[in-house]
Amino acid sequence: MQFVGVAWSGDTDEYVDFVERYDLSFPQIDDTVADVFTRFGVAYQPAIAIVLPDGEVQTIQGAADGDMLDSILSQATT
Amino acid sequence: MSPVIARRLTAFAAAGTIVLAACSGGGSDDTAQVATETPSSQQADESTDEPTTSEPAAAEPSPDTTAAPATGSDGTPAPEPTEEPASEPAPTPTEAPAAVPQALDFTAQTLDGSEIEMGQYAGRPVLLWFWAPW
Repeated sequence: MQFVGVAWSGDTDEYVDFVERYDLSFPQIDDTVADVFTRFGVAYQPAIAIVLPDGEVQTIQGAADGDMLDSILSQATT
Repeated sequence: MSPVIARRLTAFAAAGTIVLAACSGGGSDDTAQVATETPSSQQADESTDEPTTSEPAAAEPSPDTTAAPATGSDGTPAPEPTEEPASEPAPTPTEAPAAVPQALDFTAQTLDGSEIEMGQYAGRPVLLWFWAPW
C-alpha cells in the first residue's frame, strides 16, 4: 500500500515543520488550494481516502482510531 | 538488308510476346495478357502484308521489343513467391501496464516543490491522508 499525505490549511513552511516533527517519510502533497481535497470530496480534515486497485474509492471523514485503521488496511490489502 | 532486320525484329518481338504470354499465364495480371496480345497481332499483319516496306514495320516492333523484356523480367516468378510470412512474425507485444483509475489520474505538487504523478501507484491500494498542521 502506498501512503500519500495531503496537506491543507496552512503554508508550506508549516507543512514541512509538521512533516519533520512527526518524521513522515511518505510523499506529501501541498494542497493549500484544496485541489485534491475537492477532488476526493473531502470537506474537512482529518480524513482518509483509499483508492483500491480496481479504482473504487472509500472515504472516511474524521479521525480514524487504531481499530478502524487496522480494518481499513487489512481490507485494502487483501 | 532492312527487310531482314525488320523480319528479325518482328520475329523477336513475336517470340517476346509468346514468352510474355507464357509468363503472364501463370502470373496474376489479366491486363498484362491483353497488352501482349495486341502487338503480336499487329506484327503478324505487318510482316505478312508488307514484307518489303521495312521502315514502318521496323519502327513499330522496336518499342515492342523494348517493352517485352521489361515486362518479361517482371513476370518472372521470382517476385511472386515473396508472400506474407515476412510480415507475420511481428506480433504486437502485449505488455499491459496497470490501468490508472480515474481517482489517481492527476498530478500534484509536493512539499519539496516537485510534481507527483499519482498514476504511478496504479495497481496497488493507495491511502491518502488529508491533514492540516494544527
